[in-house]
Amino acid sequence: MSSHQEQVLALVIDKIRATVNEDWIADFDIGLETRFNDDLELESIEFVKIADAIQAHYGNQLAIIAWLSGKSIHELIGLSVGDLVDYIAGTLAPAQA
Amino acid sequence: METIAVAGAELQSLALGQGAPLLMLHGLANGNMASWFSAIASPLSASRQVLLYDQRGHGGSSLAASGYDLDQQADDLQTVLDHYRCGQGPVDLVGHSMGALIALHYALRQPERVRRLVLVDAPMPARDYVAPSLFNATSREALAEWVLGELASAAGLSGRRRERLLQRLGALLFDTTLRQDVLAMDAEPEAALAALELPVLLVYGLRSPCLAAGERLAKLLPQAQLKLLSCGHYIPEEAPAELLVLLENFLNPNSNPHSMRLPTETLTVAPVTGVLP
Repeated sequence: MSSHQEQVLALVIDKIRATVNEDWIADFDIGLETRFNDDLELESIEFVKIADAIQAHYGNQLAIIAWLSGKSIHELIGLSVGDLVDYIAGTLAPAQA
Repeated sequence: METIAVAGAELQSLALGQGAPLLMLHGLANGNMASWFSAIASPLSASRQVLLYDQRGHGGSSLAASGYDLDQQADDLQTVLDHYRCGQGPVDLVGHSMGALIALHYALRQPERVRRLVLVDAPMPARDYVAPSLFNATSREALAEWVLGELASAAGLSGRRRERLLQRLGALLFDTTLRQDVLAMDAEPEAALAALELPVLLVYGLRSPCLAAGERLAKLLPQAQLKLLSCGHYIPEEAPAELLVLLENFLNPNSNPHSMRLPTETLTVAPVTGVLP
């Protein structure tokens, strides 16, 4: 993992923990392989909040809504943390992360 | 995401895109803004502003003790529209299930503020269509048995999500006036429906228990068209791509019709059963 990717991963983990805001998530080992659905058992509404928080963080450097556009709810929470990190890291130049 | 204060509750809302406003209302109990978010609201927001919010007691909004009747929920809708500076209209409204009943109630109160109306499997009257599925469980124990068995497996929920659904339903059914509010929901008066001069798109599932309500509304509303999809009641989850095509065609009548043709021949949608409206 590049340091650029690591920075993005840290931001995504931070937004997941802040959104879920329950005791267990603070100690949960979240990595690129972690799945929103199978591993974190997030509700779709929580995924929407996380996506919105990441979008708000990066502002107009990112078009996360357009990236998610057309995906069903099941596809949405079927994503892994790595899928999200890859999209963000691939869209942003390293200096912006 | 923004928080909007209404009588007795705080509602979570989200605005996507820019342009003419379209507000989308989700269904009861298991519904929230995620019902529309990626599959339907995001694509529609490419050419307009799409407003989403979690109704009282749902999603990220607070659990209001009361106010689940259509008058209060239409007031909530007005407050959300005011917040986004489109409270005087004209706005397009799309609602599924209970959300469709709220949108219709609002349009009947304020027809001059609504441009077009889309009712997706509106269960009118709710006391006949919604009450039986929702109110079979008369105790928390009976609810838990139903949710942990039939409902969660039908909706593909397990573990934490199933527990949270059970918590939410338990709170809505036993800690709020939702049950009595829904039981008091009669059909809208026929004369008012017949006088509603708005373009209305009715979308119903061929296997939905609410189909007869759609046929009745199609007869009563003067400018309504009824479209049927090969699915059950949970159209935003069961047939999102097909619903999106119908919405694009209705909301963008001048768009290229060939690019938005509904693939009726290939329309095979797996039914989802046993989930709440």
